[in-house]
Amino acid sequence: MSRRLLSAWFGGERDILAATRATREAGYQILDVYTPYAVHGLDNAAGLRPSRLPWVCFALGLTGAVAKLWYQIWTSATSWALNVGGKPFKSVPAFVPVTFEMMVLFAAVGTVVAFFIVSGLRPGRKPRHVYDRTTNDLFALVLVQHDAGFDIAAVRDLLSRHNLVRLEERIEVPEVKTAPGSFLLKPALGWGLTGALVIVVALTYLLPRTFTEPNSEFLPGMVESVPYDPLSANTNFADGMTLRTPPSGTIARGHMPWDSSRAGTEASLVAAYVSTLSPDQLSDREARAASVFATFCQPCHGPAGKGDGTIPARGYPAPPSLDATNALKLTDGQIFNILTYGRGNMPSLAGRIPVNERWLAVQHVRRIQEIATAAATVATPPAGGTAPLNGKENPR
Amino acid sequence: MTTHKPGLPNFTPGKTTMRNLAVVAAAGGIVTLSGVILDPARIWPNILLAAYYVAGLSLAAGVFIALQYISNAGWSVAFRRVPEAIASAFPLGAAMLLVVLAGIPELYEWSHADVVATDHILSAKAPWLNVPFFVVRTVVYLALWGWLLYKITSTSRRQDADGDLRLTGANKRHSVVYIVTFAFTFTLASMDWIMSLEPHWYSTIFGIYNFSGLFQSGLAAIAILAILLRRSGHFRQVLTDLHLLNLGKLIFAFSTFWMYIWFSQYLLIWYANIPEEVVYMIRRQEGSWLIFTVVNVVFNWLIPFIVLLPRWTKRNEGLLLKICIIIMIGRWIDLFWMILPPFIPSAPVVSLWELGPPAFAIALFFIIVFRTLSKHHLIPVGDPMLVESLPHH
Repeated sequence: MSRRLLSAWFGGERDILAATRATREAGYQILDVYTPYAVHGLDNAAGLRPSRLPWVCFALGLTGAVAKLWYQIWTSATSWALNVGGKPFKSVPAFVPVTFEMMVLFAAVGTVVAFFIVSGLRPGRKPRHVYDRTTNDLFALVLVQHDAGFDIAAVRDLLSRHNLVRLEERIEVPEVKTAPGSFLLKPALGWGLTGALVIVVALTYLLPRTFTEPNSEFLPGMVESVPYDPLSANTNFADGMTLRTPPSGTIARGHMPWDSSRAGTEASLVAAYVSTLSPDQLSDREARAASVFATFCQPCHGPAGKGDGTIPARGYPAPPSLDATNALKLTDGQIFNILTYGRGNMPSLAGRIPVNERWLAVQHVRRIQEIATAAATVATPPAGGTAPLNGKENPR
Repeated sequence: MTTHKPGLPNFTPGKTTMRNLAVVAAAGGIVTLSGVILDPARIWPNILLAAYYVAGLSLAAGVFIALQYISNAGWSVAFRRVPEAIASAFPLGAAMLLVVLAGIPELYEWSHADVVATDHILSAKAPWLNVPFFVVRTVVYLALWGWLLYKITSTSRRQDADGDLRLTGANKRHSVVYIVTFAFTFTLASMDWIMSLEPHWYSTIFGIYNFSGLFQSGLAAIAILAILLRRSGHFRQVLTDLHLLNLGKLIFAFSTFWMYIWFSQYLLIWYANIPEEVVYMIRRQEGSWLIFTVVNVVFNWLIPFIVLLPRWTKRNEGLLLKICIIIMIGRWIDLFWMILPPFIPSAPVVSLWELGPPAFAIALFFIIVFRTLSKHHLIPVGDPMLVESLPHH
């Protein structure tokens, strides 16, 4: 299908503006207006609707910001929580710069891409309606002669009032000949560049590769740190390793040992940990230990562990005294084990006392024994020293 | 004084407006004076705030004019008399800043020799922060700015008579000198006048942070006056929606710029969490000071950003006017947030002492601007680029 196009040429900005407005108001169909540079107000004169690109820009910006904010929260607070300088995991101020940058990137690049798509600009596109001098000094208004009532004489009359330079008629046929456009738009160039890229990428596979060697590093200053890596060799120590064996008695932070099979060992570790606490912390722990004992142990064992609590007083079999010889022989871990699994008439307390407070109860039992032993020592000649808090060395 | 050409819009301020402004200025002046006698510790920071505020408006108007000249921009010529009038009010801000010199002992901790002697940090800073050098610097800044602003505005007005093209070239040179001088001296001046209120603390972004707020409020002041002149009919057929659109874009951009810089300062202090730096933010986030921090961001950025995002709001005279007024209030909040916390650390107080000096300064500012506008052509008739700026008929 062919169209008859009428192009009117003008020499100035004001003329093209006035002529465009006049033809639109007279009801003619404007195909397009070609100008050497962007003319303010031409969109109004040609009756164009406001562009919808700002909405695309807004939506993309919002998407970029929200997606990046979510991603940062997910990576640094949910998926693999990272402690950075002791800040909370969800530290929004730290996420703002990247969120902002991604918003700008999405909005800017996305809007340009959307504009290219909407206006059909792509490599190899054939230019249509070429009016050469509109890239130089003239302004062209192109009308479509859409019906038989299109009266060229009347149009010429209308346009002549605005310093018309030239009027030209064209018949547009579907197969528009490729005009002498920019060589960058030629398909051959696009294919050539793509082919060259593919060849370059393919050639990289021919490069010698040694999988046992690290890749060559460009500016490796930040990769190779000054301090030793934990697993790197180290000539400063006799065993040649960087990692040192932790001092005995070290417990991992946040780890509370409770495995009964190794209880003896780990209980002494707890004691070592307790002995590193400051006096304030220690008295806090002692107070808490006494409170745990008073709540869960005292009803049967009595305040001094003599087995004279309120429950035995009502007829329940009385437990043996906590300062009896057998009880003194128990390791911390064994006491912990009894608390966890029960023994004889004593039920398991694992469901009621959390692990760390069970250790506190053990600590208080030791305290009671210490007081009782001290009282006995006053009465009888000393029969062996007592450690300050945890009387027993680990037998194993 | 230029003789008015017939047929051109000329401005005569309304008698009632001027009288009301004079009443407000007088009331504010009386409050300020009584404050100096009754409660100097409270009034001096507010006098500093008011002086810095109005001086900033004139300086920002100067930056706006200079940018137009340097970039060879034509669009703004039609309403350039508005920023010129604001720049001509600079003597008001300068005089008030000179008055502030009398309040140095009340304002600046480093001015007390006994404090400095026992303070390691302050004695290390004493070569820069001492009263004689401070006074000299203040005078030099004000003299430089005043002279350059006078050169720019008076050259532009001389062009009305004959449209001499060489005057445009001369003003381009003045503009370049002004922009460069201003960039360096204002950075130092903001550190002297505002940052040294808390002399143990420092921030290297402080100068640009102060500039961002200054330029934002200056643009808002220009837009407010231009819109008022259009409403009163003086800018009919002169100031179009496209001019407003451009002004709106600038206000939108510099609102966001202010937020960008504000957050840049906050982020680094928050992240590093060094006691000597973070004390500044903690002081401004504790108790009801937090309200000021939040409102500061809402007024200076959030509201302008959201409202001015679409195209039509920037072309809407009434809406743009409201946003500009919010920004002007936001500028006061921003300065209050910067200046007052060391003086009233427990909680922000807004009483007569806080309102008097700004009322005096702003009212007097408008009186001077209106007087200046009425003395000259309301549009620069001799400027060669005026045609580019006026709407096509």
